[in-house]
Amino acid sequence: MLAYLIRRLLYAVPILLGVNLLTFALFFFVNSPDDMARIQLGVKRVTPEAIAQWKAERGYDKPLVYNDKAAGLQRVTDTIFYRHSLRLFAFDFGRSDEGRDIGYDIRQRMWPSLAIALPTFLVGVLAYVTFALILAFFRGMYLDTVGVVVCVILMSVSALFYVIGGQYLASKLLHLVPISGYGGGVDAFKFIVLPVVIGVVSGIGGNTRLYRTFFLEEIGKDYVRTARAKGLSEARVLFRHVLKNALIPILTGVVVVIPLLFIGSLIMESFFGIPGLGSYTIDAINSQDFAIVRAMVFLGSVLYIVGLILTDFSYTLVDPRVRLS
Amino acid sequence: MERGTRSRGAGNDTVLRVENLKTYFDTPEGTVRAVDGVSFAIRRGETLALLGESGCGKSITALSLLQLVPEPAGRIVAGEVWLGDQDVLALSERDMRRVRGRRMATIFQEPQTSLNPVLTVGLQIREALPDVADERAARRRVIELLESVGIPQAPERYDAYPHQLSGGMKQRVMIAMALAAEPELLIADEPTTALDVTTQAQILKLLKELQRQTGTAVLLITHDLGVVAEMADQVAVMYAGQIVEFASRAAFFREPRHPYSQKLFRSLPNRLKRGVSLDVIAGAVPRLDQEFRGCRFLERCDFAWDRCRAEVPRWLEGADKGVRCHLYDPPADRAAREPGSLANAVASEGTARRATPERSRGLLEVKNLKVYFPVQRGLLQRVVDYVRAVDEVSFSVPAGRTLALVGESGSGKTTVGKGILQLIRPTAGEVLFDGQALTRLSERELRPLRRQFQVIFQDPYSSLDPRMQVGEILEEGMRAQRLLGDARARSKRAAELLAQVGLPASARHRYPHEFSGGQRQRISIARALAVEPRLIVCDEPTSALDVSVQAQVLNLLRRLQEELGLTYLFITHNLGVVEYLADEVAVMYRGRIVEQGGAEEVLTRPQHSYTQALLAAVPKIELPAERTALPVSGRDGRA
Repeated sequence: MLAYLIRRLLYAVPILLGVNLLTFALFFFVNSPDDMARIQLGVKRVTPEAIAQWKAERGYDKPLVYNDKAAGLQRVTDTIFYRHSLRLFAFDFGRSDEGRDIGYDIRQRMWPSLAIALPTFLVGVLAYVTFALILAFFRGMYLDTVGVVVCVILMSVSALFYVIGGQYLASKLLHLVPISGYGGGVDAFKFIVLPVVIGVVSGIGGNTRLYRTFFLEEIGKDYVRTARAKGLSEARVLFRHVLKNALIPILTGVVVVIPLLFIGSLIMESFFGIPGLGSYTIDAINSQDFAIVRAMVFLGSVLYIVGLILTDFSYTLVDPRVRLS
Repeated sequence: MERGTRSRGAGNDTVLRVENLKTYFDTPEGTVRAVDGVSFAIRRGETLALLGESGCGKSITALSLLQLVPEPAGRIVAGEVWLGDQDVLALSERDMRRVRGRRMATIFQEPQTSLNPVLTVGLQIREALPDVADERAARRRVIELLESVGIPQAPERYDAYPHQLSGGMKQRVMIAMALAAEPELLIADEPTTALDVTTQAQILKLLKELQRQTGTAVLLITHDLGVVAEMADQVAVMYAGQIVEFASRAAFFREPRHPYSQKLFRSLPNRLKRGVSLDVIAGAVPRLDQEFRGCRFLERCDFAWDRCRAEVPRWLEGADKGVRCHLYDPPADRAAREPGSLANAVASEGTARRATPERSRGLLEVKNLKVYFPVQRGLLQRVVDYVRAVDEVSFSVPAGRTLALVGESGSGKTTVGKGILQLIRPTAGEVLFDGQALTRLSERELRPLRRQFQVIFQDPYSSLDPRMQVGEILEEGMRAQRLLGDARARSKRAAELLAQVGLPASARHRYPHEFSGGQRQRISIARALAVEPRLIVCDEPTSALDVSVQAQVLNLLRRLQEELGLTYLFITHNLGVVEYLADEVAVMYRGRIVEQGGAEEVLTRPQHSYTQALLAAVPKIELPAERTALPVSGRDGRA
């Protein structure tokens, strides 16, 4: 068991190394420091001196991977790869192109992100599973058919529509909550409600339909027939037998996103003006701040890998067949 | 479990009485009458076997009794099911729940999937216990039940998950679960079909023993005449949604009366029929979405005459027996019908035994074959041990002969097959094909040789690519081996192959799912033949098929061997098939061959204790004397 976990963690090391190399290649080979400087300084009236200075200020004037002017170990360490890419492993994100401490920003901004993403996630999963169970309970009946049709309609509507429509309805017409913004303490609640509700609603169609199929697939299995032949009530069959088995495929999709909750949602945060990591990334992309984007891409990948490990680990908790082999 | 049997005596107390049960399914093609007017009764302590082939409606009958017919497609449209003095079809779903499990319990076919994989065995049995207040008492009771079905270390097994138990153990758990509430009726739906023959023998013995102790009535649903012979007091034969014959076991095995029952016996392979074609039931079960104007068995019956076409046969009831056939209906003008025709048909197929091949050297020689699979453990996945799937296996198959490799699941027989075909590279040992050591050849050197040794797999449903047309399936091998230059020739050859296995040439343009199991297995055989092999490894080619279909496939394989001089390595667990087809037998047990020799020799005078146990475990079928196909005396068939 422990060996299994350790092995999984060790597998993550080469993957992370690969992610790091790929990000590095993407941001420094495909897009060279010169290009970055030109974009930042304005493409038209830029002098070679200004570019050189811009690069020197940010340490981008060093060679990419091998410094043949330096001596000893410095040949490797005094490079862009070592200073900007390898350090990401120590969660040392360095400074943004504007000169801000990225690490500090992330630590500050992850809390608003979490404040939106975590309730959305929890309420969402609970709601989707409940709705799916209800549809599965009434399978083949009128309610089920109507439910599926409603799900398909909800799925077909763009998430942006929910955001704009929700803002219009709840804030503009009914004046229930502010349209956007964020505050600390108790104040935070009124800013959080609307994005959370919209986040949950926009996922209802797809997820309910998906979970319903998981349930129906389990309901068709032999052990359910056995459970019924024992004389168990339908509710007991669903909760005791079906739910536990259907959790296995549900977990696959759910656990993997848990770590990603820290970096929030790009769309929700930028639309609701939440100062979280999602809007941080969007802003960085808009202002072409490659240091931040690079840091966020790397962070996202790390969290995704953590999520995959958590998923494997969660299997061992719900599926006895995995636990013991 | 302490209820005495003596006090009850052999009284006439009927536990279950089914009257004219009809269960229909609504499908896009129309209403399928899966169960169409079934009636029977079971007394206390008695076992009624409901015998029939797949699709005859026997399982749906069982599910109807429990009111568990898959909804919304299926519905019970008529009939009564009396359990004691209660018509259970009249009960609400809520009241029905108190009947299920408590008064009528079920054991299903597939113990692998019939238990919930994520709940412990103890918990699942515990759920079937009626109203236990005290948790500790419940646990004690479950452990008692586990012990009563012969599970060792029952207290520890309580917390085991299904996957930690073997197939036989799982079926024991199912039985414990079914008996938890001491039901009046136990429905056993193919309880041993998924199990090995020795495990089957244990489970059947256990069921009989428990029945003796508790006096439970058993409805045994099976397709296996051997199981019927072993277990049943009464036999009801089902065909196309109806019971066509009812008799006591003794009467049924002495003299099956319905032509279908007779055919079932005749299609069974065994030693006595060696070298003779098995009787097959021509055609297929009729579609059940039609109104029948005559007999349902009409198309496949050797005795059918005008009346069978024009008039639906009545149920002719005798003392403790019954049959649904015009042959036994007094006004029948039977004079014109000669009962000898069936026997003649069999005899005319020829009784010529295969000539002994002149070559003594084996076409296939296997020497000390070993296939080991590494067991990896720990952080670094080091190899700590090996699973010796095949260990020191040697045998030789002369050209034109059949060697049967017999053994239970897990004995390594399929691995031997793969090792020979080089689908798995053996760990050690040699496989000589026509003197050439396959084990020493590279993948590339093997490829041109592969046309000489082909394989037919067990499951015709998954061994054909569902996205390829039959013609493409047949031609793929020829193309890979560059056998026939142009597409025209290949296509012509494909049509020939289909004719050879008894399928129309038009089958080329259809997909595998359009064919029945038996037809698909014919396609598999045609596919193997396409590259003109000399050796065919047949890996359980008939175990997924019904007996009557099995007979067709076995006949085909036998005929092809005669015509083309093929050599077979026949991997099977079915000893009837071995008796019928094999020249030589090798018995495998735990990766080793424990006994081999001539088929006759090994099967009649087994030396090794495992072979003896295996043969003893096979249920014995006393075959009805081949003499009577019909009640010529005529007097026992009246209504």
